[in-house]
Amino acid sequence: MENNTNRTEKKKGRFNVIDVLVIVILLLVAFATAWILDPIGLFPNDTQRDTSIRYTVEMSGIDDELAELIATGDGVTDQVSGKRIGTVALVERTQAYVWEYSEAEGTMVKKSISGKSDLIITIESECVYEYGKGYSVNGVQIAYGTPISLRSQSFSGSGYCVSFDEIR
Amino acid sequence: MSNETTKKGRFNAIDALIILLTLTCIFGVVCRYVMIDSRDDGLLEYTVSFRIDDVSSSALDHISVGDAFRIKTSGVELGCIESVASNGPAIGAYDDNGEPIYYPTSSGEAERISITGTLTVQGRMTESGLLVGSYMYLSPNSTLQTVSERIDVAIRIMNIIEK
Repeated sequence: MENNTNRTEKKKGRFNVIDVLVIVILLLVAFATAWILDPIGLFPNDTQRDTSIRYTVEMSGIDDELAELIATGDGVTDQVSGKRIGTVALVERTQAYVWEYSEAEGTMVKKSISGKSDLIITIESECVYEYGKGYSVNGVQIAYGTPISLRSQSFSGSGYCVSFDEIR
Repeated sequence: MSNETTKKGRFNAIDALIILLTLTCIFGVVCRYVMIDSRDDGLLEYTVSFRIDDVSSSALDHISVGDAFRIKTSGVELGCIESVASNGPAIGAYDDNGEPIYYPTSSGEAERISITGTLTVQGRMTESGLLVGSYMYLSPNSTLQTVSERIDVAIRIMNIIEK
């Protein structure tokens, strides 16, 4: 009698064919759902490819002494996502200016701002191109007009992407 | 002995629950796609005129006919560019009489321009405006932050006409 009870209890805890079947179906459903929705890009598709990009970020009105702190070769990180978005390939500095209405001339004129610089920072990086979505570096989309806040070891600032080219 | 054999093949409550959950999952996925299909039925095409104000003239190099635009925050597909052109120098300020002052033009091109264009948008006209996707409504004078493959730009809707 005691032996019979033990056997029945053991069998109770065992998998049967139905359990295995149900688990297989569940896994198939999970796989199909992930395949169709693919929320985190698990499955590679032919609409995207790896490539390299060179893009420029324009920053306006940076204090002269701070503008000197970013240099070629610096690694830069996106301040929003905290992800690396490339390496500085070139830094160009020009006198900062603002557009103002000149009453005397009756038109808009550029007025220089003393002690401030405009920076054009060229960055190179590996990236992913996806059809319909464009280029993204570690999830950060790079397109003309994209606002970009970047940080290096010695400098941080915000600006806009003003050009980009695929380099491979 | 024969009792044990019968128990072996029997469903227990957990089996039934798991099968129920599995079927619910499958039903959910099927429903989602059926709903998307039915939602997309009966959509009409509209020509949506837009305007982009006060951008660098190089912005125009990054917008072409056929480019697909979507809403930046939600990813909702807006439509494709049907036409696009420069609208001349952008307004930089207004003088004391309220007259617009335009950015200057050098060698035929202004540094700051405004752009006009049209998009082909599929949607359904409702009392709240043109419904695009599940919850995005467009009406004249609404400003949207949009993105395409090549540009990230704010557009202002000027007019919506059924095709």
